[in-house]
Amino acid sequence: MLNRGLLLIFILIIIGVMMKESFLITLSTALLVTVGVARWWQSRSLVGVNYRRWFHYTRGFPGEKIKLQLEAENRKFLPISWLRIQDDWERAVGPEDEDILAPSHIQERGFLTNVFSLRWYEKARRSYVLVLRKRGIYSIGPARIDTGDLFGIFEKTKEISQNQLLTVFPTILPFNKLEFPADDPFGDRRSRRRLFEDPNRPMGVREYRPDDGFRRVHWPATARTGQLQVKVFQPTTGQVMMVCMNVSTFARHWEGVYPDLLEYLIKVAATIINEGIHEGYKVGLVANGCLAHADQPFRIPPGRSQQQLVVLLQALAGVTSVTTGNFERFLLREIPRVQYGATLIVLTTIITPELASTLIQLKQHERRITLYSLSEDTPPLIPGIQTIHKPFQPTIK
Amino acid sequence: MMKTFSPIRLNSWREIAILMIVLMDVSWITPWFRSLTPETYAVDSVRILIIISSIILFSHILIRSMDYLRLKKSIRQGLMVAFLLIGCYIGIKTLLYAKESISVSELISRPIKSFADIKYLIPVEFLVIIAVLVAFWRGVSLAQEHIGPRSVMSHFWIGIIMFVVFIFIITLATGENAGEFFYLFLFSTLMGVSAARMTVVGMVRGGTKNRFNRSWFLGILLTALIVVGISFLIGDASTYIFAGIGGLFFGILGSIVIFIWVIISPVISFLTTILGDLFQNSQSLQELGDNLQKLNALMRGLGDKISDLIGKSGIGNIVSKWAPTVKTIILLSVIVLFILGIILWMTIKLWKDRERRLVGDEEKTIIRSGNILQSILDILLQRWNRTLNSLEQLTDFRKRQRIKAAARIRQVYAELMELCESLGQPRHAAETPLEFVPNLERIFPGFHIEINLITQAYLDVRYGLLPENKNDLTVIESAWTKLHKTGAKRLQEQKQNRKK
Repeated sequence: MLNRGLLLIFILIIIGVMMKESFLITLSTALLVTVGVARWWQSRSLVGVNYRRWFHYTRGFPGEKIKLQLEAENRKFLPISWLRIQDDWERAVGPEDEDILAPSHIQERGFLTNVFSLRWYEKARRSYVLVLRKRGIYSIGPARIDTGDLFGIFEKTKEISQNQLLTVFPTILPFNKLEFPADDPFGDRRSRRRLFEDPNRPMGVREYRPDDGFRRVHWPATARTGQLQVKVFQPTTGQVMMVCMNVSTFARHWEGVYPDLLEYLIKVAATIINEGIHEGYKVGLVANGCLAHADQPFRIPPGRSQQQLVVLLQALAGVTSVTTGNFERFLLREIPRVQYGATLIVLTTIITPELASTLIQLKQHERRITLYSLSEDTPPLIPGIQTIHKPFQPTIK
Repeated sequence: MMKTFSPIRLNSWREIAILMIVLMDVSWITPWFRSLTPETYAVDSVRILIIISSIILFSHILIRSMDYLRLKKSIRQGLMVAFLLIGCYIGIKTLLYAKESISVSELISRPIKSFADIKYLIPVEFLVIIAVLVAFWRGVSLAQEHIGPRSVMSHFWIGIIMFVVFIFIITLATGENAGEFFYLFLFSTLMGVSAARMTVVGMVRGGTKNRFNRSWFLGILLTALIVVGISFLIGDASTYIFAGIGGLFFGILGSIVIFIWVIISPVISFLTTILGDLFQNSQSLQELGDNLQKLNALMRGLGDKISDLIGKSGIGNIVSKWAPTVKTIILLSVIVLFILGIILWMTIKLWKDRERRLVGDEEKTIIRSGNILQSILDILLQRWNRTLNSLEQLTDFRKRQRIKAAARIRQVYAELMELCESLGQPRHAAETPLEFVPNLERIFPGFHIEINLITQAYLDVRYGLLPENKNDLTVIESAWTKLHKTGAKRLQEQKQNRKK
């Protein structure tokens, strides 16, 4: 269009010269100047334009609100009369007023559109309050910037692929709602922070005391010193709990996914993990589901710190319904790596005979196992395994 | 609070864009109107500009107000006719008889007399009435137009074409110049495009828009003035520069011709002399010799003129002496070039269409035949048929009525949705009208028939069907009235409950 216009202007100038028609030359030249100025302005319009998003927090629980500030900046002398920024936004973490997001061809996403007019070296900010509506890890962006010359004759577009992530943790339910045994919820436990010693990790010797067991006597040291000496082992400062989560909601993968059940399963897992950390357990997580933007099952080694809680909740936030394989096989592969003496909490929505036999197999290796079932069917009685059956009851919307 | 549909909602940038489009149109209409007859030429151009722009603006406001008030068709027609009559009266009085004190009856009788008088081929009153009608039509079409940069640019191209045609017809014939109007046109284009861009940018759903800012408006206004000022200065200066370059170019071209003539003329003279000696009584050779002598004299004259051009009298005088003949030749060349340009453009277009494989089946067969000239003629014929079809559609009042009825059905459905929203039961963006029917039936129990009528009518319209007759719309209107009454009553109750 522009090239055709320029060609027309040049033809008019030539005709004007040939006919010595001064007004035709003036008209064409004036048009040429105007178009030239607009074109030059357009070419410079995106230079020095910056766009940033500031989130007050990037993580939270469903129902929480996060403050967001958007900042557009023009770092040049030429003013920008119109600057439209369209941010690709997930509705699950959209603004409080849902109508603010313009519709997109993807139902779960929308566009947060902001229009600015920026003078020379000017910054403009817009504030929003975001509501975290649904568990997940959400990518915000890319942003599309449209601007042009001062008069709006020509446009220029740029895409800023500066994506940011917002994490919505799963909701933590009241622990008593899960109906774990009140006196000893996770198995063999006597005190809040009991000091254990690991017999596999000797760290020295000391003199014998009457309460020491006979098996702890270090005979070579006793012979050398002429006095009874006992072995001292490295302490292990707490109990270990491993949450094993089966994300399949149907026995056969091709039957699909029951989203509400999966969400509830994740909530239960989050609640158990939270309680475990608060009770002083070293908590880890294995699941046969994939994390968002990944295609591998995940395994988080046990830990007790507050940071561990964040890591676990973040992993649960990113769990998708995609399963990487058979849960029983996954358990048999993963459990040998888990520390000896750890309590295993197996969370599942389906109980199959294969799972029961796998658990029996694991029990033979002296694992403490608690099976937490959300299945509708009552699980079979598995000897030596504490079973909690709490079928999922969907809420009617 | 129930929202109401309002086509008259004011948006400052949009109103400025409309104002600028009016100014753009008036900038080229005014010089054209003035140049039509000596009587119109006598009228002050500022007065023409004010009168025509007022008619466009008032007709535009009239249409928008009528839409806002949802007046009946008969009232609308009456108002429009009254406006046209008043417009014609004001136009004739202010443009032609401003200084005379004439009565209304005289004002009406004069055009009739002029029409009857054989002296006047086209009476000037008739021209004024045409101008008023054109202005009225511009105002009406502007009220229905989607204001955006594209629409302003289309007005811009129309304006440019009209200015160029003005130069080729009026300026060449009379020397009349439309300089000041062109700069006004350029200024209003820049302001119009920027205001339209602001309007369009602000129309995007969601997010936060920019509010009208006076300082930005003034900034754009100032920049537009500066750009137009620079264009004026450079345009003015370039006239002399380009004229000089042109003179030089023709001088060089003439010199080359003379140079070639100087080289070949002795050879030709020698040949004619020899041939003359051989065939002494040949009449044709005699004539050829005479002609050569004349050509020689002409070339000498041309040489003198070029030396004058470069030396004494300058470029301008020579061109002006040669102007009448050269202008005619150039004008003819321009026409030929124009026709050739159109053919070239259409050939390129045909070629591109072929490459993109976007042509219709009919055109495909045309191109395959390989005869370009035939293809161009066929495409011209197709275009002509399409124009005729669109003209037919324009004059197909029944179809227009059906389109209007369809628009009303869409409006009724939109209002129903607004009512539901006010009642706290909005339709979700992902919900289809049919999916929303059960909700509607919950909101308006006992109105099953009305709800289905409106929904089905909306779906028909949404997917391209038009209502067959007026009765279809009447049924929808009555169904909507019932629902609206019930909804309004509910709203009232809700308010009272809240107060309690």
